Formats: sequence, structure tokens, C-alpha cells
Amino acid sequence: MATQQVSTRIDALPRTILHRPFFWIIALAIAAFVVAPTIGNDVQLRESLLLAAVYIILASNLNVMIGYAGYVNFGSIVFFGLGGYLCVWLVGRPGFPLAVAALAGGVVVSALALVFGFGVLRLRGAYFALATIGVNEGVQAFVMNFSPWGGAAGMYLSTELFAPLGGPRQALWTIYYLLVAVMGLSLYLSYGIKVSKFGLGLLAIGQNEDAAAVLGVPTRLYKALAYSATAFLPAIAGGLYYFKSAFIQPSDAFDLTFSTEAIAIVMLGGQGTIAGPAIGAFFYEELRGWLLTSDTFSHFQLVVAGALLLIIVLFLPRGLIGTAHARWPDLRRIIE
Amino acid sequence: MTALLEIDGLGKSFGGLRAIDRLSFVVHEREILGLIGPNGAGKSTLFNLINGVFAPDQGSVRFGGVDITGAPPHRIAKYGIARAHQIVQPLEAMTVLENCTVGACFGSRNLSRRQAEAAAYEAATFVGLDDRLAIPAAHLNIAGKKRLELARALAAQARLLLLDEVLAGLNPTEVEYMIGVIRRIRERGIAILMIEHLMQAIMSLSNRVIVLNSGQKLAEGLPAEVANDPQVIEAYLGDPELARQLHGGS
Amino acid sequence: MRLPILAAIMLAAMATGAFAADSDTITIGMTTSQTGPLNVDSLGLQQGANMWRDDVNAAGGIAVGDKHYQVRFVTYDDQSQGSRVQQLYTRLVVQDKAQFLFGPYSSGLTATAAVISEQYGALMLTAGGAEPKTYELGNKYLYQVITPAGGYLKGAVEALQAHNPHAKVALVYSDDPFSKAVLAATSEQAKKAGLEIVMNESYAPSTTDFGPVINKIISSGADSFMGGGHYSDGATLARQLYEQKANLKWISILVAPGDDKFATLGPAALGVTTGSQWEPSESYKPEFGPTGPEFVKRYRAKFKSDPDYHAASGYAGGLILQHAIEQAGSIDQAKVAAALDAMDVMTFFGRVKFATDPQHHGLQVAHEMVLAQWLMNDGKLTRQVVWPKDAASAALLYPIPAH
Repeated sequence: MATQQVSTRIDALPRTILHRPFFWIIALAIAAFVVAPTIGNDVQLRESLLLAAVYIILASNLNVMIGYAGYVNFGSIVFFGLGGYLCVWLVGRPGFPLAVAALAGGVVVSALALVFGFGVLRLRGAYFALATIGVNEGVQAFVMNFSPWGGAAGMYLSTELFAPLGGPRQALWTIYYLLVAVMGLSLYLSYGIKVSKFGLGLLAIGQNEDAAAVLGVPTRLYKALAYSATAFLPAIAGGLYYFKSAFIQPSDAFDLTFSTEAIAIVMLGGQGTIAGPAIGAFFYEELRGWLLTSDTFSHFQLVVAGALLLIIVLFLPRGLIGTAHARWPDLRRIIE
Repeated sequence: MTALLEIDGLGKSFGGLRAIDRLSFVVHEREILGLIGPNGAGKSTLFNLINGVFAPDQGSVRFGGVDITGAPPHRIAKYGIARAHQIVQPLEAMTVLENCTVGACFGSRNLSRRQAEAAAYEAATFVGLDDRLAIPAAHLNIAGKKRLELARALAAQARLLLLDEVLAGLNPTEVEYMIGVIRRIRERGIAILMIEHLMQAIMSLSNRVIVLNSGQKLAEGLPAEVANDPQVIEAYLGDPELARQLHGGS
Repeated sequence: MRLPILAAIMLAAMATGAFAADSDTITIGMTTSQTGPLNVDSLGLQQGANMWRDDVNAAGGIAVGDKHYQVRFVTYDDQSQGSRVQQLYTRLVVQDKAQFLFGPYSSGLTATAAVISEQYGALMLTAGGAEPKTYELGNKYLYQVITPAGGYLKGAVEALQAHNPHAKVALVYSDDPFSKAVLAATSEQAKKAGLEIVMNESYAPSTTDFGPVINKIISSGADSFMGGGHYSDGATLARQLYEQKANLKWISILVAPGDDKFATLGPAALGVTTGSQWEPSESYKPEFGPTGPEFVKRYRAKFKSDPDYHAASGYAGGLILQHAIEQAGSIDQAKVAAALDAMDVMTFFGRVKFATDPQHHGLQVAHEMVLAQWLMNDGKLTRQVVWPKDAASAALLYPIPAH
């Protein structure tokens, strides 16, 4: 039963990810994020893009659990918050410059996620979603009572800690570039997973978990790996973000609003696609920022944001990119 | 012929209901073993016990000499047993090719995605789905979906296929086509355990037939022997349509 | 020869005339929590600041040398969330060209905004952050208008010590960060003042029955009490101390007695004291700006409601900045900062002086919480300021009459 000679139809598929146009579109977007504010030393644009990058990181990692594996993680903010805490706590200790502290946060959080993941992922659907909320609340409760981390009052970061990075002005730029790097890694991670065997297994789980198991997909292992792998970069991002804010407290770090927004963004953009969460995050963040400072809308910006969400959910349930794919199938090859 | 699948003293209860009771039989390499019986006899339950959806209460399942009793479904697939379900389970949003690729990737051979795509293409062609490779599985008609079940199982390079009523719901032309495919599968050296209600198909395809009734083996032997066994006929009296079929009606 | 002189005269004329509208404005940027959980407290702050701006503009603006500058606010909603604060303060400095900043409400948001203030060297006056840690992070441009949290019951300790140097004090408080921080500082202050602490315990914030706790207080031999948490537990404590006849000579409770609702406790409220950043009945004699009663009267007329301490601190922030600019004779950041560093003044809000050492730069070191006490006045229970003496509007009642 040797496999037959592969037909031309298969050869038509790109040899490697480097040959796929979307790979280069992502690279272009990253370059834009780096170049645009740097050219004009435009600090305001940088602040705005930084928030967009954070949302993109959260949404594209979340997309792997929601859009591929079909598990809606309501409490995904716990990775961001716990990573933030670990980094803020470690930074300033000997041997822990910012990059190391943030990385350590990422490693610890994804290790914990692997352990917790095996347990939490025994549940499905709504039970899983509730359990993820429970994980977030549990971690928040722990931190609130953990005095080495400031308990409910939180931790403050001394401005001296910005000195190794060249003072606050330079540090804010460095942190921005680091976050853009994490954003790039997030996009490439979700892309790489999607075209890999691992991603195929996750997608199968998302379609029909039991059938996938019968087909040989090691569902328990894959789900836990996905949960853990997509905790890593958000944890690092949390570390960088809270370092920049110079202050972290449990009610902010574990605020479920963030993960709910991330879910909304994934839906808005188009779950299961790579471009979807990124585009959704970018527009959502820009819109919110604009509404906040606009003279006309700032008083009811929450209403506008909510209305927009409703419209998208009612009329574009596959999200922006998903709907575009359905309308123009050839678009799939370029914008994935 | 060498034994490939050995079922020995298998038993399973659900609450007070004895679904499978002291069941023993063998599937040999390269043979098609037909599995028939009235509704509720326990045929699909037997499949569930073989491919790990449930663990049996008593007895053992051996495959290629290895004890696989109670192993979880994804491990069973690695051993080389694949299943086509009675109620089709396509991975709806994925294309035909992607469906088969999943089977190939995670089946008995540990293939990379690229290698799996080649194997998937081959399996899809074998069942005649090569004209629909890029179509999402949800858009196939019932015949197509049935073929997809089969293709996925084939793509997994299994040594034993568990076919659960793959002919149900098909028109006569489709049935004939599928029978041809099943024959060609046996020619490739793959063993098949198939549940079927279409007597004409079972009788023409099977090397041997087993009859299940109320979880117990009622009869076992060549198709003609089984068809004329008085106990079998009596069991099917409870199902007049099937009784008619047994004797040449259809 | 005549042309240059003519040109110079014309330039001088233009400078004082036509360009006055654009260049003679001081822009102050701030965020407030218009939405989100902090919006009620933030509103008072905003209204107080707005009133100062309107007052100063009506009086012709801030005097800088021989020029007058109108004050213009640019305000954004931070939604009570830290995630927007840095973006908004950056916008205030870079796009809206704010020369000075007022801080947001709450210590957490203040710390986050401080990074921007530090980055641009933009002076920020904060009336919304009581947590002292914010000012111990090496910031050079923050100035705190209100008393840091640790000073909440400092006046109570001083007043008690003045009336009974051998008081036996029970400290019983809610197990939450604010109350714990306050009582930790109070315990230190009491020890230093030579008072004896006979009990020091916290209770779960959800406690509704203090019977067992009060029994312990009575058996500890305490004659003075300090503690509480927020409104409902504070009010319940006061009531149950009265009902169980704990017969304490001194009771100081956090937060609850500062609310007008406290009067409904009737006789249980009599004599109970609390710390406050500011009370309408304070009688400080200010060196500049309105007196307390003037401020209250004008605020009532403008907003149709009584000012609370948030409003007073918002107004005071503006007042202090104005004074610093006028003292410096310039709007140059460094000169105004120097004026703030040198400041030691009395306003309707109380005394104002900032720490200048690098470890605590900007921390408020002179403003004290006043001690307010519920007293009978013509048969009605009212809250009066009883300590310090130069702010008092009534005599302190000690001991609380036994019943």
C-alpha cells in the first residue's frame, strides 16, 4: 500500500510557511508598528499602538483556544495578570533585568497553565468557561491575601527601575518595541500552529472532539498543550505592560472585563482566522480610544462600543475576516 | 488464517441492562466479518467496546496479539483500528482533504502533515472523492459523507476497519458503488468487521457472519449457514422486515 | 535709525494686544473617572477644581509678573481604569500642550500617571491619592495636596493624649488594606505618645455582629477605642458599643461618622470622633483664597449641594498651583517647582507643605486631618471640628458622658 505519486494538486500547496503571502503580510504589519511612531517620534501614536498591540497579543493567543479547539476561555486574563505580578515582583532583584523577569513570568505561568490545564480541560462547553472564570477568581483571591505581593493594595514600582533602561522616556520606547516583538511572535505562533499537525488536531477537536479522538488525536494532551502554549506570550506581555504602568493591583490585573473584550475581539475579527483577531483588536482599540477623547462621543462611548458589538454579532456572526472569506474565497490564500 | 482481532468473554452492563454478555469471536486478517442482529442487539455497543469509547466490565480485546482492552480511542487508532460511524461524524468546517489528513496524521502511522496530505489524497481518491477535495465536509450529501467516513478510516492506514452501517440511507447505485469499494479494501489486505442491515450486501460481501441477539452471540458461520439457522430466523421474527430480507427479499 | 525703533514699538504693541488671546492661557490637563466605580468620588474633585478655575478666571486670571493668564482645563475620562491613563496623560502633554497636570482619582491611577509626569518633567498636583508609597518611588514632579493615609487618626491620638496621657486604647478594625494601613500607623503614633494599647485586633469586613468583640474590649479594661472600617461596620460598632454599655471615654471610628447619615444613631453618636481631610465647619484663617465658610457658600450656590472633602481638595489643588505660579512669577516648570518646594502656607483647606527630600519628594507633610466630633448643639446632633485648636469650631467633649 505505498502511497501513490503525489498529484499536481498537492504540489500546488505552498512548500513552506515562508512561501505563503500572509507570512509576509504579518511581517509588514510588524514593521509598520515599529516604524510609524519611531519616524516622527510620535509618542501619542506609540501609546495608542501599544494598547492595540496588547489587545492583539491577547486576542490572537485566545483565538487558538476559541477558534481552533473550540474552548471558550473566559478567564484568559489570569495569564496576563499573573505574568504581570511575577515580572513586577522579580524586576529589580539581582539577576532580573526587565527582559529576564518578563520571560520568567512567561515560563512560570505557562508551566502552571499546563498543570491546571489537564484538570480544567476535562470539562467542556459552559462548564469549561465557568471553570476558567473560577481559576481567575481563585488566583485573584490568592494574590489579594498574599502580602509579599502587596495584597489587595498592590505593588508600586520605583522610577529608579527605569534607570537601567535609560530613564522613563527611553524605557517607554524600549518596552513598546518589546511588546511589538511579542505581538509578532503571537501572530506567528497562531499561524504556525494553524498550519502544523498540532493545529490540525486542535481544529479537529474544535469540530468534533469525540470523532477526533476516534481518529487518533490525543485530545487531552493537545488541549493542555494549547492552553499552556497560549498562556506564555500573554504572560510576558503582562509583565512588560505592568512594568510600564509602574503599579499593579489585583482588581486591575485579574479584571474579567479584559478577557471578555478579548473574546469579543476574536468574534468581531473572525475566530479561527489569523488576521481576524489582529484586525478586530486593532479597530476595537482605535475606536475605543477615539471615542474616549472625542468631544461628541466621550459621554456615551460605552454605548457606542456596545452597539457596535451588537451589530457585528447580529449581522456578521463570522466576524469581519470570516465574512470576507465567505464572500471572496480567493481571499483565503492571501489573508488567512 | 491468522487471528487479527480476538474478543474473549466480553461483558458490559449499563445499570441493570446487560448490553454485552460473554461474547467471544475472532476476526481474521484479510477477512470481512459481517455482524448482524435485531435492533438493540448490542452491535454498536460492541464497536464502542472495541475502540475504547467504553471499557468492558469483563473479558478482553486483543489486536495483533496485543491486549488493548480498555485503551482510550486515540490509542486504539494508533494500534491500527479505524471506525466509520453509523451517524456520520464529519469535521464539518474542514475540507474533504483536511478531514482525511486528520485521519492520516493521527492514525497508525506517525506521519507529518505534508506526508499525511499525500496519504489523505490517496484515500480520498480511493473512495471517489477526489473531485471534491476542497469542499467543506458540511456541503457533502449523505452519500459523500458516508464515503468520507470510509476515506478517513482508510487514510489512517488501519489494519482493521469497523464499519457501522455505512450503506444505510444510500440509493441502490450508491450502495453498489460502496460495495465495490469495500471489496477493494479487502483486496488491499485490510480486515473488516461490518455491521449492516442490508442483508443482500452482508451476504455477498462477508466471508463469515456473526449474529448478535440481546448482547449474546446467537450464531456464527458462513453466510448461507447463518441465514438458514432456525434460531436466527426465530430471533428475526421479532423484526419481520429483516426476516423477509434473510430469505432473499430485499 | 527710526525704522528699528518703530518696529520695536509695533512689536511691543502687538505682543500686549493682538496675541494676548492665544498666548495668555495656562492649560491644565487631567483625567477624571467620569465612568467606572470611582466616578462618585471623582465628581467632587472635578467640581472643586472647576470652581477654582471659574473663580480665578472671573478675577482676571493668574498673575504672572505683570501679565494675567486665563486658566483652561482639558479633561478626559479615564473610566476608573489604569489602562488608559498613560495614553491620556501623554495626549494631554503632547497634543493638548498642557503646562501643568492634575492627578487622577485614586492612588493606583496616580502612580501610573506619574510615569508620564516623570517622563516629560510635567508638574502634577494630586488631590486624589492618599497612599504614601506613590511618593516614595523617586518621582520629582508630583505634589500631594491631601494628607497621606497614615495620618488619618493622628489628630485623634494627639487629642486623646492631651486629655488623658494614660489612656488604655483598644484598636479594633476591619481587615481591609485601607483600614489596616491606617491602624498600623495609628498604633505606632499611640505608642510614641505613651498611650497603652490593651487590644489590637482585626475583624472580617463582612462582620455584622460585634457582640463578642465588644465583650473582649470591655474585659481588656480599655477606656478608649479606635478603629472601624467603612460605613456599615463603623455605624454598627458605634451603635453596639452604646447598647452594650461599653462606657468608653473616647471613641474614634474611621469613615462612618464623616457621613451625615451617622446622626440617625441618636445618642450612640454623641461624642464619637473621626478624622477628615476637611470639614465645612473648619475655621482655619487662610493667607490667600476664600475662607471655609465663603467656599461652602459659593459652592452651594454654584452646585446646589454641599461640598465634601473631595471638592475642597480639588479647589485647594488649583489654589496652591496658582500661588506657586504667582510666587515664581513665571510658568516655567523649574521655577514653579522651586516655589512649590519652598511653600509653607495656610489655606481654607489647612496647612500645605511638601517634603523635598528625594525619598519622599512631594509627600504632603503639613496638612493634617482634622478631628470632627458629633456634639449636641441646641438639642440637635451636629458634626463639629474639635482639633487642632486653630481649626476648631467647638470644644472637644471628653469624656463621652456615661449612660
